Amino acid sequence: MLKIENLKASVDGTPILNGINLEVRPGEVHAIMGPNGSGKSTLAAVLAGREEYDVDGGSVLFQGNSLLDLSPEDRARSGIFLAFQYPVEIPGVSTTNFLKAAVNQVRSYRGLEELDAVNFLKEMKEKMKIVDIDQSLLRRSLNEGFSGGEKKRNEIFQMAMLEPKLAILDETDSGLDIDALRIVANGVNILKSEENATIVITHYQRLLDYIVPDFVHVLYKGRLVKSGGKELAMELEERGYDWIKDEENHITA
Amino acid sequence: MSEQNSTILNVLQQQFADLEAKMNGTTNSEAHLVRKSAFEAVKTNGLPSRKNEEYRYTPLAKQLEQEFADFTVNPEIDAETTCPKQLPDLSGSFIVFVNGVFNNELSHKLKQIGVKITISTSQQELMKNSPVSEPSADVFSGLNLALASSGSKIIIEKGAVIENPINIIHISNTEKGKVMTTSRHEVILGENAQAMITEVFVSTGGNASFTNSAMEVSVGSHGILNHYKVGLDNDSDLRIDNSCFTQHSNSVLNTVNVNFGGKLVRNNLNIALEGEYCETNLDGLYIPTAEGNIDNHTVVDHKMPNSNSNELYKGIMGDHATGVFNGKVFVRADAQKTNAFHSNKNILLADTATINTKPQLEIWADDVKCTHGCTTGQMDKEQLFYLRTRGIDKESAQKLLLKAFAEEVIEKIKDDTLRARVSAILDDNLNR
Repeated sequence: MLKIENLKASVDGTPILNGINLEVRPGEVHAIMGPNGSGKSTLAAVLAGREEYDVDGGSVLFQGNSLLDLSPEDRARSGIFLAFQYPVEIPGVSTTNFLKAAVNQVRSYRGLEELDAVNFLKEMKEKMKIVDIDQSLLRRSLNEGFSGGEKKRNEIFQMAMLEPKLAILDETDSGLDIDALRIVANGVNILKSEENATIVITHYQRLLDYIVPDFVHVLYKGRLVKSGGKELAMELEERGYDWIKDEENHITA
Repeated sequence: MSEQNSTILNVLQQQFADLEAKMNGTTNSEAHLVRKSAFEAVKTNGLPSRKNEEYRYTPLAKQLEQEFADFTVNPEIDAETTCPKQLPDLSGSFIVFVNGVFNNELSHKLKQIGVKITISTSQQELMKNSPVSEPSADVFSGLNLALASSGSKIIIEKGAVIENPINIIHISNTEKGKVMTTSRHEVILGENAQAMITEVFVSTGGNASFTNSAMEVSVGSHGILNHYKVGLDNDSDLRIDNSCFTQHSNSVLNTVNVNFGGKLVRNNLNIALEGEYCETNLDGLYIPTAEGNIDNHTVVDHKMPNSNSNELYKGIMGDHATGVFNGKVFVRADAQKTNAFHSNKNILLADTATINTKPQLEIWADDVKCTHGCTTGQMDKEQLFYLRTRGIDKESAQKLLLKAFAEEVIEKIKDDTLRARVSAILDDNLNR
């Protein structure tokens, strides 16, 4: 589904990703962990098409097509979804307001019929249950005055509405208390299927108690330096990141 | 007489002489002497050039010189001038002027219980109906006083609650040539009365027009006035409007001023809070066209204690458009316990677009709460990226964000019909 080869990216001339290799197949959950500043959020941003980042080399194939040539909207339409670490506030635009346009642009790209107001509302009511979100929240200005939990639930709600093939959750656990974390993780698990895949980016192992990964990768200095099963996450939780840094710095030295 | 606009002053001098010629011996009346001295002042001072601080970014005099140096008289217009398509479904009283001439066919419902509407179709009537007052410092206000030959006077009786809006529609029909229009209106809202007055400026035809309109409004104590001004000018229209409001104690004035076009549009909005416990909400939206210029100068003068004023003006400028905002707030020594919150926000869509913004606060009292500020920026890249990651194309995402930005002002229009209409006009403008 997703094949990243030797991906290199920089921002304002500073290299951040220094050759990422990763393959994600349908049905899989991959966790990407790493210390602060290792390039986790950059990887998410580059995959979603953030224009401030320059891709300096490598390739990303998504369902057989080159992802890097597509605009952010075409990436979304072809099935990439990014749940933001810091969801943006947009005064005067409600979730309901923009999501109808979004859902219909995505549907039309995928060759599906657009939803009318009635069916859109029906679809919304169905998906709202997944993250236990209230309709009144969806009518308010996006993320303005939302609690941390409300913001992240809203992200997963949008994911449910847009039905992506590949969801990238960028530190979705940051700033969430344990109850909110459970609701959000539960939502992600409900949406999981054999056809779609998830990349979970996190600093801590806790989220992975709820969203159980098939693979765990450690990102350090812009490269995936270690991969393993979910037990790697446990080890990182116990030992921290220093041993990874030591190993890596030892090898390069 | 200043050098650079001497030709246009000759044209205006001729206009004034033409008016006097029609007055059959009433040129010595007291009212006419006020007008005469107003015109003398215009001649002495000249039209304001860009050296004048108040017109630094708004070359109205220069544009007039260019477009109206050869002007003599308004063309005859076809009888079948119709109300432009932008104005369906507005309800209430319609007072319609076409090229400054009251149009009886297009006007309707001039009688409402509690309202007395008097139309003046000549300068004599205008003087009889509304005793002329001294013009404000603005030269164009003096010019209006001197040249106005039509207008209306609207009196809302004490205690009357007028449910139906009163609409004053200014139509410039330039299909047969250049048009110059000067009209003057007076509104007196009685004590404890409530009303809604909407002024619409609209034009048809491709020739240049110059509209100089003025409105004097008195809001009686405990009265509530909703005042809306909608400018739908064409690319060849020059327009200046001087609106002066006087608020008496415990009165509320809500004024929303939206402008979507014009070659050059200048609004002077002066609000004097003469009484205590007044509330003033003044909001504005300006979206000039590609080469257009919209200039809003507002003055809120707190003269007495315990009043609140809130101002929000927002602008969107693209291409080579220019926006000007100058918002003055005075809090006089007697105006203790004043709350005044004023803000101006702008979005520039292109490097070639311009905004000149100057909020000014002058406070002589010592127990007041006042804030003022302005922001100018491009479209928020984070917001744009967020919407695009949801599958919305860039152009639609931009429109969505601009609409949200502008709607904050349009939402202040309390009348559902007018608000929906203005919102639809906004959509048309964002889609062009």
